[in-house]
Amino acid sequence: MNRRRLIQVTLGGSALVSVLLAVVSAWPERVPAWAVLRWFDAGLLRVASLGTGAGAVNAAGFERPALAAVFILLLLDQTIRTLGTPARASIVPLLLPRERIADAITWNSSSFELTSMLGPTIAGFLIAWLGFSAVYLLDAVTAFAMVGLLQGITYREPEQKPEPRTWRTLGAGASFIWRNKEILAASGLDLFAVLLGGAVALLPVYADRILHVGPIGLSWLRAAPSIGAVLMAMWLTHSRPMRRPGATMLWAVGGFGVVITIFGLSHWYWLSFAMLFLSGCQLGRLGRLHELKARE
Amino acid sequence: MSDSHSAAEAPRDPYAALRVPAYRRYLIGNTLANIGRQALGLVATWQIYRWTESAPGTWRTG
Repeated sequence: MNRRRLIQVTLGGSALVSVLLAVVSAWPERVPAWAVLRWFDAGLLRVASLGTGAGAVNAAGFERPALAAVFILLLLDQTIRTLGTPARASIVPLLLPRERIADAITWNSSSFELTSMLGPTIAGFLIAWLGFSAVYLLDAVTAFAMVGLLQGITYREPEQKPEPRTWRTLGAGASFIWRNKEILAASGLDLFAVLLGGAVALLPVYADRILHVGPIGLSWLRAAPSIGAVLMAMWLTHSRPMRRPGATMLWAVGGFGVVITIFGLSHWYWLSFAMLFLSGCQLGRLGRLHELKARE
Repeated sequence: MSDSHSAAEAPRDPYAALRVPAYRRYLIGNTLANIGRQALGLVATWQIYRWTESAPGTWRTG
């Protein structure tokens, strides 16, 4: 199977699963109480009770077969989509003349930043106006749109034949990072920041219980770090080059920790929004450092 | 692509990549698909939160 076909099949497959998610979300009471779904629900409840004790969890909320169905379908959906990710990234250099590749990669990352602002925001409005299913359908429609757009495109085949797969080639990426200590340090910092940023997974809880906003308020919170990162990247592009990258990196990571802590303590929507925005600014600064390092 | 001169003498034009039809189609498709995926990321967490904090029988679909 060639790259284009692989991208189309995985996108199309995951889009079909998204359609199923839309159906389950629209008529959750129709999902049959199969044993496997009840067993999965029990497992979810056990995981949710870890560390908090069973009393702190609304056990009744886990007695829905539709909940297990949504979890299983989401797992399937993302697994299928991820199988096509390497092909989706590696086809880019094959689409353009060599001298345009660097610009195309920049366009790709700008586009990604744009979508991480637009996607959650659109989702918030769709949930508020039409319900969960509309968002799953949006995912399916946009995936099918990409399948259609890729139909009929041509690209050159890579000049180098890939090396036969061995354990050594599988580990090549890891050993490259290990040898380049700057990249190792930067990736390590990234991992650390992502670990701290995991708090963002709890955003629905913050939005509902602490800040008392609905899906639209939640969607702006979710988009805030990306907005910050984009504005920071734009500002850095037009400002003087950084003189002490090491110090800047530490300040960015430290600043990230401070604003996320304030976010955790805040009970005021706009303060929380501002802190997430600033956390994005710090990440934008880190991202810029990586870009400079990569160019050296 | 209508580039007649070599890359070295052509002025640097970041928009040139967008004039390659195959890449343009890819970029538009990729942007759309990523909007959908980012939207899905939000709905998944919100829906699961809403369902698990409420009593069964009270179905929320939005």
